[in-house]
Amino acid sequence: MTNVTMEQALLHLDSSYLEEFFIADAAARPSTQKRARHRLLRLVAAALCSLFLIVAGANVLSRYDYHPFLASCGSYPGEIVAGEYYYFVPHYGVMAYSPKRGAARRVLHTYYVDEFVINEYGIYYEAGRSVYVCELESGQRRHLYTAPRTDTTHIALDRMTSSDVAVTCYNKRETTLYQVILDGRTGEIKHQTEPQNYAEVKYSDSHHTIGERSLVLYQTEPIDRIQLDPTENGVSLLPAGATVSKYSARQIGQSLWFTISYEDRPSYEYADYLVLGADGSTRIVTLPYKRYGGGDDEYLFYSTYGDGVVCVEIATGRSWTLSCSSPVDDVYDIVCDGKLLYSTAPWSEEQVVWLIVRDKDLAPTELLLVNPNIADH
Amino acid sequence: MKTPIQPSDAQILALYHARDEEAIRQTDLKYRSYLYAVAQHILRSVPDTEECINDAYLDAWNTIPPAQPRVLAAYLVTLVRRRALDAYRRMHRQKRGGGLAEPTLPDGYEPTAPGPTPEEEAQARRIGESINTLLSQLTERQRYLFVGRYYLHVPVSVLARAQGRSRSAVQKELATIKAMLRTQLESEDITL
Repeated sequence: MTNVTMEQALLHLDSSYLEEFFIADAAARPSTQKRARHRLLRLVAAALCSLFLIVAGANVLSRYDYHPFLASCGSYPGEIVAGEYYYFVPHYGVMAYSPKRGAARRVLHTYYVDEFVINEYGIYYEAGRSVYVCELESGQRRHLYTAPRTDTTHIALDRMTSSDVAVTCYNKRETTLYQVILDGRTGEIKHQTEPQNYAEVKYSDSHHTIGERSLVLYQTEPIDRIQLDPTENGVSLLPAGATVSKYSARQIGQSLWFTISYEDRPSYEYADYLVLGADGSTRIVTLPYKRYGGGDDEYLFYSTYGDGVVCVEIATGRSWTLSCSSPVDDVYDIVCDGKLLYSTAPWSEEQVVWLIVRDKDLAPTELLLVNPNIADH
Repeated sequence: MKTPIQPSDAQILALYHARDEEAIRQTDLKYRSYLYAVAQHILRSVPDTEECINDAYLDAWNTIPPAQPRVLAAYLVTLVRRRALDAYRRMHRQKRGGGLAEPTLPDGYEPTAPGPTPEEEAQARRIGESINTLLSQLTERQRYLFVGRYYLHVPVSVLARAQGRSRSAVQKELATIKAMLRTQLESEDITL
């Protein structure tokens, strides 16, 4: 008997078989390709018309997100804003699911959307170097801002607060960027940073708000671009030697959460979390070190990637697996607000809705299937 | 905090070539679930899995370019598996001498000597070649099941849905493939 395991042996799998899998996997999803039309005209006119049709066709295809190269139509986790769940459906657009109505509707056609950021006011999307907003209430779309051609090759969006939007203006020729913070309603420029190197910490990564509180994350010594020192009113919120990851910032319930790292104590099964409440409270809680999919001010939830969903009680660190009314094989990524849980899987096009059932003490106990696929349209 | 549409691999690779750090973020957004499943199956520890995936992203950043992966997902999975196995071996070495918390081992794995010996490396290579030989004899449909189930740990129900077949039919075919592999390895005096 050999000591070699299957995993070690599979390291020598011919990579062409792995490539074949992913190509076959992508082909298993519905996809169509449009073919360019050719007209018989005089030679020059025919060439110009063909060129025009190819360019226009490619533009239209990309706007409806039919990509020529192995496009993946798998579902992707959305976002909960003001109680409604916003998610992208390939080849269709951004949809919103309303738990009150128990129904979903399209809020933005895929033609307009390359990437989007959403807050309580609207959906912000980019086209070239321009930013547009689609107001959630009226559905109206309007232009907000265009970055100048002279110093911007492409842009990206980030949500700053419940109403502001950060536009990162990249210059890939110089590998520099700057950020413009816009009022999400009016497009007014509230702040603009100086050009900086790609490697430096961006304004949107170092400035956060929760309720009326403002936080600034500073780089520590020695310089680390990811682990930062969180401060409020110039005072550090953590003991010496402790930092937070700039990527760990997220709002859950009415609090802003960060994962803490200690220079002399790596995290294993448990981690400390810095929790900043909108009510002004600041605390450090020790909980299982997991990739949480959201929750509320009392419970967090995480997926075990096909083996169920686990609930963690914040006050005690106690955790348990929720029972489930339906199979959870495809519960991979989750987004939840403590009332409803939305699940997706990278190989599935479905967006599934579950109700979090609680006992008489209001502790979550079960997931009840509400809708097997709100991406159906 | 944004919700992007999944970009194509060509778009993500263009970001790598432009040395735009957005490449890492888009890679994570598009492939994290796949990669997480692969790493966690080996390591069974969230912090180690997270570290393994981050290391694999760094490997991707450092190797693209000049690497020009034809299928980005395949390239990333390979990087993650290597990192995961390296981490698993380190955990064993540390467990033996460092007194750290005992790692949780995947089912069916036994603690062996820390790290592969040259003989084990050669044996792994030999078994790997045997698996490749078997795969070359299978149909495309069978290869899809083998790679999906045993390399990527995709659930049987998901594989069945992708092929438009019943779960039991897929399970039966996987059992057939396993039997073929066992026969092939036994003919070469190898028992896993």
